[in-house]
Amino acid sequence: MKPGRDDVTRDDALLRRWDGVTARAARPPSSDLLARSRLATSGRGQFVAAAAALLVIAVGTAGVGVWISFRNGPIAGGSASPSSTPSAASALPSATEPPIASEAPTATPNPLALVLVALRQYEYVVEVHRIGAGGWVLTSERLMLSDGTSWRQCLDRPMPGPGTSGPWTPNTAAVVDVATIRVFAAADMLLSTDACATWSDVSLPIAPTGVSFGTMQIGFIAAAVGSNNLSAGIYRTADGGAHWVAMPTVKSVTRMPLANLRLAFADADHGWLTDGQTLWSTSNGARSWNATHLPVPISVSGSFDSVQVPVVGPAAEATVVAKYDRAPGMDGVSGQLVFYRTADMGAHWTAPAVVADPGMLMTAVVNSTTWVVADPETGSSVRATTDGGKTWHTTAVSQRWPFRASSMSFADPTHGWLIVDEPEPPCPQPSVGFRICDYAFVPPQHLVATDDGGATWHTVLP
Amino acid sequence: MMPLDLSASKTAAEPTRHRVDGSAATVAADARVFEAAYDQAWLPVFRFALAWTNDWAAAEDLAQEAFLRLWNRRDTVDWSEPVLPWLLVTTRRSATDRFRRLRRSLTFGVPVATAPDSDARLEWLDLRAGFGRLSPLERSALVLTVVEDLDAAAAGEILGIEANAVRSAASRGRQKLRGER
Repeated sequence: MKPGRDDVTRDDALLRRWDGVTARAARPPSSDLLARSRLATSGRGQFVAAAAALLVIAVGTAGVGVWISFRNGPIAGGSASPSSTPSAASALPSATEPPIASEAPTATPNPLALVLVALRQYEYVVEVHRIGAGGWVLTSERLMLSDGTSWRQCLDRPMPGPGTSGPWTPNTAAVVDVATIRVFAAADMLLSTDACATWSDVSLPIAPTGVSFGTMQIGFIAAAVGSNNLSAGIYRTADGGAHWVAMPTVKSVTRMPLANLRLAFADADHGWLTDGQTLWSTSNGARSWNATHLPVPISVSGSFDSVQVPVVGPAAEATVVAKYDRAPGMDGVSGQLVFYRTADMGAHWTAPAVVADPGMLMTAVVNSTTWVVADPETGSSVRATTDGGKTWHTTAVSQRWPFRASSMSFADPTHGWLIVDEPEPPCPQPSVGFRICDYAFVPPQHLVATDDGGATWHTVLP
Repeated sequence: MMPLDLSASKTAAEPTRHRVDGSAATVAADARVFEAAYDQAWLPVFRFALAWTNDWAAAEDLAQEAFLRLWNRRDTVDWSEPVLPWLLVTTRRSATDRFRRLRRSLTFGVPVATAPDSDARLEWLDLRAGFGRLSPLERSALVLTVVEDLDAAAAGEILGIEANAVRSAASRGRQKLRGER
C-alpha cells in the first residue's frame, strides 16, 4: 500500500488496517499441503478403477476389435463410427491431469475429430441437452457433441496453466442449432457456422448469464448490471450476434440484487426473463417487460420459493416450473413443484400439475406436455408424463446411477442424461496445524444415460 | 508494503524442467521449487482470496487449493515463468466454484469447519463487517489496486474485467467504506 497521505480518509484508514492485519496471516507449512495432496488424489483413483472395471465388461460386450478401431480411428469429417457403442465409450478411463495449454485459449479452428471424451479433473458441466440418442454437453472448458454412438469435441478452451498470460473464463452458455453453434464465455461469443470446423470471436457488451435466440438471427443476452446489480441489462442482435443493441433495462422487483439471469425466447418477439425469483415476459422483442403472475393452485400450501426458466416449444407453447415451500430461499426443503403451461405465448397460464418435492427433485421439461421428474437422493424411481400431468408413469430404477445426481435432461420419456457428482472429500481438523481441505478437487462429475425411461443407467462420460 | 510483483519468477533455484522421472532426487527438487513459489506467493494469494470472500477460513482454503493445483501440475509447469498471476486467476475461479459447492454442502447439512484462531484473524474480525458491505468485486478491486498497488489493467487481468471496470469497482468500494452509500 502506498505510504502516507496527510488527509487520511476513513476508507484509507480501513484499507491500511486491512493491509497491516492480513499481512500477519500465518502460512501453513507446505509439508502439510503436500501430504494432503497425496491423500486427495485417491478419491478420483477409485472412480478411474471402477471405470477400468467397466471397460473390461464393455470390451467383452462390444468386442476388442471395435474398441481398438474406435480408439485408434479419428475419422476426418466427423461422421460417427457406427460400430462403436455408447457403452464402449462410457468405459474409458479418464485422464487424470488436464493438459497445460502453451498459450492462452483462443477460438482457433478445431477440426472435427472423433475423440474419446472424458471429463478432465477440474472440468465441470455447465449444461447438458439430450437430443434423440445423442445430444450435447457444455462444460467449463469444452463443448462436446454426440450422435448417440460416438462423441466429438466441438470446442476446446482448456484452462491455461501457470506461466501463461491472459485470463481464462469458463464457458457459461451455448446455443447449438445444427451447423450454427454459439458458445458464450464472459463477454465473448464464439461462433461457428460450419459445425465446429472454424470459429470466430465476437465481443459482447456484457458478460451474459442468460442467452436465447428466438430465430437464427435474432437473439438476446442478459446480465445483471447497474448499482448493486439491481437491474437486468438486455441486448438484442438481429444479425446472428455480430452486432448488439441495448434494450431497456429491467429493474429488480424485490429490490434484491439480480443474479443468474436466464432468458428463453420463443420467437423474435416473445420471451421470458427470470432471476429465479421473478418471471418477466415480453411480447415486443425486449422493448418492454412485465412481471408474470402465475395462477397458484389452491392445493399449494407453501410460499413461493423459486421459478425456473421457461422451456419454449412450437405453436406458442411454453412450460415453466416453480417451487413452493415453507422456507423460501433455502435449497433442499420439501415442498411442491407446480408445472405451469401457456399455449398463447404467456397471455394465459394454467397449472396442470403439482408434484411433491422431497427437497431437490430434478425436472426435465421435454416439451409442453412431456415432463420427467426424479429424486437425486433416493434414485428409486423416475416419473414421467406425456399428457401434461394428467397421468404419470413411474419407472422403478433397477440399476441406479452412481454417486449423486445434480441435473438431468431428457429427449423423450425414454432417453435421458444425468450429471452425477462424486462426493466431497472429507475435511478433518487435525489436532495440530491448519485444516487442509481438498477444495482443490472440484468433485469430479460424470455423465450417465438411460435408454429405458430410467430403469437402468450407464456411464457415458467418465 | 512493496507493490505486488506479478512478473516475479520463482527464486531461481532450479532450472526449467518439463518432465520428471519420478526418482527421489526429482521429487525432492519438485518440493524445493514448489516451496520457493509457496513462500513467495502464499500471502498475496491468501489476501486476494480474503478480499474476494471476506471469510478468513475460506480464504485459507482457497489459497491451499490454488497451491495444490499448482503442485498437481508441477510436471508441466514452466517454473521460469511467473506463477502468481495464474494462482490469482485460479483463486478467483475457485472462489466461484467453492461457493457453488459450499451452498450445496450447506443444503445437505455438511458441517463447515472453521480455522483455528490467530491474533491477526481476531483483529480482522473487527474489519469484516465494514468490508462486508462491499461486493467481492469491489473488495478485490480495492485490495489489488490500493493495498497491493497494482495498476487497473493488471488487476483487471486477474479479475477478468476491463481496467475501467476495476476503477469503477474500486471507486464504489471506497464510497461504501466511507459510509457514503
